[in-house]
Amino acid sequence: MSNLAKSRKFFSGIVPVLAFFALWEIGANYVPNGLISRPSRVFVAMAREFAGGELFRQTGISLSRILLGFSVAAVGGIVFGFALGTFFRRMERFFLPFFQVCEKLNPFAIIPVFMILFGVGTLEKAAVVFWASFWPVLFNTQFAAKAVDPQLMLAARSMGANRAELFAGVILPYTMPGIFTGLKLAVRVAFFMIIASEVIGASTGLGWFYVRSSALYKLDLMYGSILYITLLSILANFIFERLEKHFMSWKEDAFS
Amino acid sequence: MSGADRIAAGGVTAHENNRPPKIEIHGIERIFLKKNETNGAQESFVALKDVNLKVESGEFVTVVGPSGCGKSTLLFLLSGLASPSRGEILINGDKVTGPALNCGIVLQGYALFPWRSVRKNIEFGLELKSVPKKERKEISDYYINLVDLTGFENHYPYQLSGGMQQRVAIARVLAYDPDVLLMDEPFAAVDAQTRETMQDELLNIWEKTQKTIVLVTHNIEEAIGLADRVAVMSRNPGTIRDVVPVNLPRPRRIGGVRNTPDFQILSHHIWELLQDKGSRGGSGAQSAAVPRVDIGEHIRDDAVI
Repeated sequence: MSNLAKSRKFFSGIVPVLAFFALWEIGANYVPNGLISRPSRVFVAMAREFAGGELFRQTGISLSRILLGFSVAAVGGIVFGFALGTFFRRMERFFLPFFQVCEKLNPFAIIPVFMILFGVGTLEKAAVVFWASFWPVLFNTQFAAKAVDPQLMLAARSMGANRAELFAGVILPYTMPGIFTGLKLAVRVAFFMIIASEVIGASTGLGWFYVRSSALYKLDLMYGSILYITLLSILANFIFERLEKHFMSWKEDAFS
Repeated sequence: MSGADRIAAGGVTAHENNRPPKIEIHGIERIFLKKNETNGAQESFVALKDVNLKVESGEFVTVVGPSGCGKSTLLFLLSGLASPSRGEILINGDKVTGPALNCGIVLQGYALFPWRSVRKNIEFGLELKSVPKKERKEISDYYINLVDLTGFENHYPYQLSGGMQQRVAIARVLAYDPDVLLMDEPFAAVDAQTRETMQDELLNIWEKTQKTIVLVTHNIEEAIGLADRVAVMSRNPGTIRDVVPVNLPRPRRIGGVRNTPDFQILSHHIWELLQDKGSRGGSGAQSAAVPRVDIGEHIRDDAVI
């Protein structure tokens, strides 16, 4: 894509966002007092919190919980996914139905259970994040690993590839797109779950910051937190999209 | 003496010296077990039975037969990707027990690695052999040039046409320098014009590299045009009906020999072999009158009658 097309795409994308904020700013005049804030005040209030360091601190706490839960889920999901999709495929019919039930379990319902098991705190929040983001990684990895083109495996085997070389040379690259699909789903879920778990019971973190703002009736900060959390989640997703593009430049881009 | 026999009677010169054959296939049988769809019982299906064939070093042998005659299975057994239920295959006098680097197979459908560029695809086998990077590049450069893909080194498979992908697949196998090249219907998926160009290119590569080639096809014209000898297979059970020598001049271009009478006679002869469902010699006076003595000993050695 040329630079011109790029900037055109960027501007046409930003217009609805700006229009939304403009409408909000104007519309706030016609809504009874105390229901919503307005963007100008939201930005000022959030900037003040950032300047005071409070938001940075809470962001750091939440992100570290996400990082802990998500990275364990990513590593575990990929390892288990490969195991069930390739070398221990016979185990699949024993474990997969059980795992699928686990996945269906409402992750919000499990928060109180984890509070009892792990105590309220970082470990419990990370466990909630882990629980919710583990399944998409596991299932997508397993599914992709199972679908490896047998012709490619034959081609590699005919050239004398051993098991390790088959894995590194064929299975892993073939599974990469599936792994990324899983990771992108997982990172979204991770952001949902960290806020949920910090809203329900916490004295730190962005979720806590958000409910405290509403409890103290600081509307500017409440709306600001929502925007800010959304922005972080978009940013995380963006990082993974870039990573995916970087690793998968060989993929056919059907719509470009 | 029919025309086909006259051509056949010329004999294969490679057979006359005392070098051991490159490939020896002795009494191969391959049985697949499969589950019956309705009652779930194990059933055995005989894909190949009593297959015998010898291929000389540097010889180009094509295998032609109807679909389901086990010709691809035979190629898999030769490559070591599958093992026979009975019998044995020797390459250079050594029994084939698994995939080996002296034998390269070009699979149906190219089987290129979509995440690797043309160059990296061609270098795959060399990476497995731990060839140093600099040397890898020299080798891949040579084969990229040989299959006429210069300028496409950094393209990915999805950016190439079918014919180009096929050339990458051939170069990938040639790059690790096997003595024997096995090809499973390599030109089945390309259009007629590209096919003829590719066939001529393959002949060219064969003449340059002196590889022993076994190529499987269902196309009689292709089988004759490329080969020194054509092994004709029948199905149920899959076996070699006859091995027909092709004494058309070399170096050869498909377009140059296709319309010669000799080619047409061979083509008709093979067509008849493929049609004939009964045992050989049972279909009338003409077959019975074939003077086997003239054809030479190699036929009787190789073909299973």
